Amino acid sequence: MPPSPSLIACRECDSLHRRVPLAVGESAHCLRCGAELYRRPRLHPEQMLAISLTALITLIIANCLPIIDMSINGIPSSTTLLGSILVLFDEGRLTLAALVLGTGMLFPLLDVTLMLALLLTPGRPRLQAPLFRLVSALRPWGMTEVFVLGVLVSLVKLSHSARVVAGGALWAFGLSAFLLLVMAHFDLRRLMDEAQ
Amino acid sequence: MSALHPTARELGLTGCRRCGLVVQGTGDGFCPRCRSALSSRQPDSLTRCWALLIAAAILYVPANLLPIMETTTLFGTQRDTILSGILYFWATGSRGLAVLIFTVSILIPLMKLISLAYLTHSAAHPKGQSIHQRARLYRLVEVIGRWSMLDMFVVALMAGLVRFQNMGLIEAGPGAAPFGAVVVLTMLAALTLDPRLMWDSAEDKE
Repeated sequence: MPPSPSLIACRECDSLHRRVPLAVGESAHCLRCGAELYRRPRLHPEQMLAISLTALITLIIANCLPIIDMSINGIPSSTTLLGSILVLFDEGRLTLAALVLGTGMLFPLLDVTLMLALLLTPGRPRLQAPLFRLVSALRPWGMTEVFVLGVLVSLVKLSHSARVVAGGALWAFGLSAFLLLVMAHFDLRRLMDEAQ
Repeated sequence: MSALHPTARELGLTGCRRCGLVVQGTGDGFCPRCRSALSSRQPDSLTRCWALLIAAAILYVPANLLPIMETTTLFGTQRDTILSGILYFWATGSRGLAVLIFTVSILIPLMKLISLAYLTHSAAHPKGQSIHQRARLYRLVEVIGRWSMLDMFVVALMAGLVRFQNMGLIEAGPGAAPFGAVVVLTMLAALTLDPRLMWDSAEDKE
C-alpha cells in the first residue's frame, strides 16, 4: 500500500483533498463539511519544547502543593490532589478515585512527558510513531482545565462554612491548564508529516 | 457518489484518522506511518455506540438519584444528590454557581445522551435532516462532554479537605461512581461514532 503524502482525507466526512502549502498560523478546512484538515502552527517545535518543559514543571509543582487551605474554628486542614485521591481510595470509592487520578493527575502528566519525548526525537520515526499514537489517544482524557474550575467551585462552596484560602497549587494548575491548551492547539500531525 | 467532493473511499483510498496519511486500498489494517488501526469506516461503529449509550442511559438514573456527597456533623448526616447540591447553591445565594453546576452535571450529560442517540440513529436512517447541522452537533458534543467531570472533582476535593473529627466529615456518596461512568461512557460513545458514516448516508441528499 504505497501512501500518498500529497493528499489528505477529511477526518469527519472522508472527502479527499490535495494538500496546499500554508502560511504560518493558517489552517486548511474541508470544502464539504468545514472541519479542519490540517494547520501550520505559529509555534516552532523548539518553542513547543520550551512550553512542554514549562508545563511539566508547573504540573509537578501543582501536584506537590496544597490546593486549598481551610480552617473551621481554628482547626486547619489542607489537601493536595494526591491526598484527596488517597482519601477516596481509603473510603472505598475506587471508581471515583481512579477517575480523578487518571483525568486530574496521570493523563496530563503523561501527555506532557510523552510530548517532550516526541519533540526530542525528530527524525526517529520508529520512536515517534508510538509516542504520537499515545499522546493523541490520551489527550481527550486529561482534564486539568476542568479540575481548575472544580477547585474554584469548591472554594466558593467551602467559604459558606469555613475560612478558605486558595493554595499555591491553584495557581500552578491554572498555569498548567493554559500551557496544555497551547499544546493542544499545536497540530501534532505536522510532526509526523515532517518526519517523512 | 458525491460528484463535487469525492471521498477517499470512493477513490479506493483510506485516510488515517490519527496522523492524516492517505493510503491505497480500503481494507482494514494498520497505518504504515503511525501504526494506528486503519479502517475506511470504523467497524461496527453504530452498534458499539448504541451499546455505550444504553449503558450510559441506565447509569444516568442512579447517578442522579443516589447521593454523591455525604456530610456528617454533630447534628447527623446529610446526603446530597447532584440536584439537592444545586438547590443548596441556589438557596444560599450562589445562583451563578447553581446554574453552572446544573448545566455541566445535569444538562450536558442529558443533552449528550439525546444528541448521540439522535446522531447514531440518523446515521443509519437519514430522513432529510440537514447534515451540516448534525455535523455541528457532533462537534459540540465532542467538545463539551469533558466539563461534566466538574462535580467529580468538587466531591473529591471536599472529601479530601473536610475531615474534622467532631465538626464535620465529607465523604463521596454511592452516586459518584455511576455519575463518573456516565461521563466516561458518553465520551467513549462520541469517540466511537464514526462521523464519516453520517456523511455517507447523507450523500444522496445533496
